[in-house]
Amino acid sequence: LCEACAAQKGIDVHAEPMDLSGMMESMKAQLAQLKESPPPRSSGPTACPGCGLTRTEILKKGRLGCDRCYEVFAAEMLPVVVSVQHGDQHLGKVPRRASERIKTSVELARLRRELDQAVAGENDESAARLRDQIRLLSGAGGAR
Amino acid sequence: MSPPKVSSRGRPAGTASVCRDITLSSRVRLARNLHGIPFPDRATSAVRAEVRKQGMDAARTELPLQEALADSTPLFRQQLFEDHLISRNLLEGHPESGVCMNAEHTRAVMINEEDHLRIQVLRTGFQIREAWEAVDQLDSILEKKLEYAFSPELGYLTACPTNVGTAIRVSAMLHLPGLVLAEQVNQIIQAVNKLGLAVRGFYGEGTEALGNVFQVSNQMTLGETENDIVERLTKVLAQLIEHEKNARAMLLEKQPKMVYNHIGRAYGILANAHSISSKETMNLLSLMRLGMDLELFPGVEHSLVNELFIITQPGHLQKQISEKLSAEERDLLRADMLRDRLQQVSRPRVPTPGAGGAPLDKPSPA
Repeated sequence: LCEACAAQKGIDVHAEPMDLSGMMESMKAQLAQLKESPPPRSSGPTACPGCGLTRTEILKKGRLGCDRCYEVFAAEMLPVVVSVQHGDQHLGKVPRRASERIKTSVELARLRRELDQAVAGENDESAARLRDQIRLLSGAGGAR
Repeated sequence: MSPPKVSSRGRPAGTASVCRDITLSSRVRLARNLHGIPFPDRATSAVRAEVRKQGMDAARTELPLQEALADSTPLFRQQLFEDHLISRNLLEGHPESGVCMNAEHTRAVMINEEDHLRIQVLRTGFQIREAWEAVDQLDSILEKKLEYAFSPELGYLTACPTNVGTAIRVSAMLHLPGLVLAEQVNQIIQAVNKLGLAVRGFYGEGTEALGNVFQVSNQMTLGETENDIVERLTKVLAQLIEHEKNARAMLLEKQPKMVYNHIGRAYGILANAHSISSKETMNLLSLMRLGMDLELFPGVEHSLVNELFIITQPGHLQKQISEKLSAEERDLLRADMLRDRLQQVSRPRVPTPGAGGAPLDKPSPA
């Protein structure tokens, strides 16, 4: 199961091989580094108004306290999240009760990624179809 | 029944079917949190109790068996853990944790684990896609009554940032005695890690591969669709199964005596021991299962070993006699049970050298 065979079998091999059992460790190391560095210049709130968790506690534990923490500490957390993930945009399921705006924005992100893949694979027909879909949806939803 | 037919290369004729039981089970779990409510570790016990109530209410029609963990006996909790229905985290976690299950124990929701809800579906064998479809459906039913924490960019928000996005973990339990005996398993694990998947032991994170059973799962959850993740895992698992088949064929070709020796000894101990630990039992049952895959135990169903795998574990063992036992007492009881259940199983029928099979092991190159 070498990378070449995997690629041949159509298994997506990440450009940068990483030991994923060490994913948590790598995240913790990054958080520890952040702890050493001064707070971001914006010097936003030091504690989350949703749950009271402080920046220091988050950096220490590597866990967030509530959904609002993700907004409050976005400046610190986003780069860390993205570094241990496959991308920076959710492309999966959306709750049915989410607003149309949210549904459209995730759908557009999904189509844009498909478009990138179609372009990379020089699949002109799909690319054209996807561009149409994106144009239609952007117009209708007005998102982004 | 006649002994298994042997090909000219000393392999049982039925080798093609050995892959049928390499994947023991498939599981998909989704992490979900409720909007605007602190995650379990950050919530007060009153809030956790309220989350449990809401979760149980939402799941009631689909999962009518509901337990507040604090109200159940330690033995019952241990069985749920051994059945992979609840995690060690839940077992040792908040007093306000709970679990909702269906009668068949194939679908469950853990409440107040690391996240408010951990929704999961278990299936036997290689049924990852089916498990994903079932858990997706269960999640859609729950979300009718619950408002989830969700962001258009980061998807479902979870206590640990490594789970955000789809918050999905797709996993399969693989029985890989061939790769272990051929000493190729570490190499394979490293290759699988590089493909963005994790390989863990029998009880998940931080556990050892008891009984040569390995859990393979996705690690990344953001930036791909659930379908992409399911597809990738499916492809890698198919490859792993192929490698296990090849390892078994290679072992039978080059070191048949070594393989038969392991299986024969495993049978001997399991069928005759008077005291045996849970760990030794699992490791030996794995070899016996390999013997069944290789058709050395004609007429014996895999279900026997599957059942023994479960009922010889500490929690299930004590359930049989409804009392708590010391480790020594459990080892005696386990051995009694194994001798009893294996009474009807004849010793492995290994191809005889006269028939062109079971030749001596080939000397390994120096």
